[in-house]
Amino acid sequence: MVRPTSVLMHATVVPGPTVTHGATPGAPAWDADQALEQLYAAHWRSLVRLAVLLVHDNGLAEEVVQDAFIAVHDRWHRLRDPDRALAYLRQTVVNRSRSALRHRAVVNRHVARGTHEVDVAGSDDGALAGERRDAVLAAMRSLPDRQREVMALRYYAELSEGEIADALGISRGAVKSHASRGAAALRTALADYLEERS
Amino acid sequence: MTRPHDTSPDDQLTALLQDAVVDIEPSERLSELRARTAPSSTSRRWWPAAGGAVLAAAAAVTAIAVLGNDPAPTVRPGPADPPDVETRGQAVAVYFIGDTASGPRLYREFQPVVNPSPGLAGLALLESGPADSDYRSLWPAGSFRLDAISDPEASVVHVGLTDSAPSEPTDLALQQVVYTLSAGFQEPLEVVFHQGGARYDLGPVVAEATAAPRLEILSLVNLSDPFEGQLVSDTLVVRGVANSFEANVPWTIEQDGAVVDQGTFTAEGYMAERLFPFSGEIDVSSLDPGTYTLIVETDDPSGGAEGNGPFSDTRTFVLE
Repeated sequence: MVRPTSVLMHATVVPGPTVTHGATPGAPAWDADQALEQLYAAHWRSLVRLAVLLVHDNGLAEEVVQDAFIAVHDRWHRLRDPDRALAYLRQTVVNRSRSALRHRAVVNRHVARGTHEVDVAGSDDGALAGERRDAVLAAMRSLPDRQREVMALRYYAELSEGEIADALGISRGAVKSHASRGAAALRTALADYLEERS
Repeated sequence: MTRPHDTSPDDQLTALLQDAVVDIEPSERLSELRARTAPSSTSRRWWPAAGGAVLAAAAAVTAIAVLGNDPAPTVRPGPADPPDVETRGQAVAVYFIGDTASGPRLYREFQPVVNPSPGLAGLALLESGPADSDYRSLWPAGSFRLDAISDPEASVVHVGLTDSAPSEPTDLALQQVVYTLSAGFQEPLEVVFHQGGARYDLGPVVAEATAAPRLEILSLVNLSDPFEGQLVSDTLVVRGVANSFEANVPWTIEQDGAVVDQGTFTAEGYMAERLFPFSGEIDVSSLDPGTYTLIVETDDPSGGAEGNGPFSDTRTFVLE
């Protein structure tokens, strides 16, 4: 059956150096390299999964997220608040996923290079789960860009309307309307799997 | 997250989407990332002068205003691409000392910290010092017993001091702590200072303080953005707070002592016992790359004939 995992997408919990009283003054709390390591440890997997929902290709998703990490690393000194690093990463992932999709050539090159498609093995109820996952990814792929992004951020990352608006640089009203249209489309496309649960 | 028997339409979609990617285990890319970021000559520029504070990272720190309603510094997100400047800033307000025509006053500086307790973060930052070298702290490193700060109860917080702390802290030093902790905990606090205690024992009370009136203790103009040493491309985004005659906040940009640009911001008000936000964007695209100083002042219509002269705050920024 559907077995949701908890995804730590909105809590900015990043393990860091511990507070020690009397610690060396003059040592910055984080440098770009440390931040990269910590963010990688905490968020690599969930961000790749988010990107898979957006681009429907594991290899491409990894490339997108990897580039996003590098962008954050490069700009670390200008990020006003490390606490916002995850939000910034997520925003970068969404934007880069969108542009990757627009450049179909990029996608095709990846597929041609033998990038593994979504691997559905290992689930508890085998074929059915695989079929359902394919259907979900296909339904996501059929949505317009913005709707797909709003769906992924809302239902996968479980962000609030305001957080989604921030991440996409659109108004809350726009988030709302993409969300309702996207959800309606997904419910139609995935009616079989939704009825199964109700 | 999703509860076992939830079947609301939203929860079902959440379950479906999360399930669709639950088995995806991305390959290990950390070493590749390390390699691609290896020439890290630029990676150390982060918070050039952020004097320290080794602080734990954890839950989101909420942005803090001064005993009330001043906004934390924010920069609006860029239009399409991710902003390559700051995203919406959340930070901890720390109060340092700066000299003004009216004697030493408190200046607020936002410092980026991740810490489970903003109050604690503020204290640690107080003793590790300001990013802006025009400011200073009256609390040397190691002044505070970070194991001995109570959570505020009934708007009172107890702070343990070590032997490194000044033995007779001045009023201004006490106000540094009161303002910083009040900002950190987002409520006006009374602070009770203890010294001489052992572990788990705060020791005897050596001082108590509540916030002095803002206009008597704060600099009447205070920049939030840019931060000291900030890299700027085409537009200098300026934010701050002021209480200035007619809400006028004159600014100048100088290089090597020569004025290269000037103008005036308008604060949101001035007729109250507090500081009012002001903000603006200065087009600096026509200036040559280099290091500049932004100076904001309170307005002094008397030209110095009355009072002590204007308050000011300055920031160095680097134009790329």
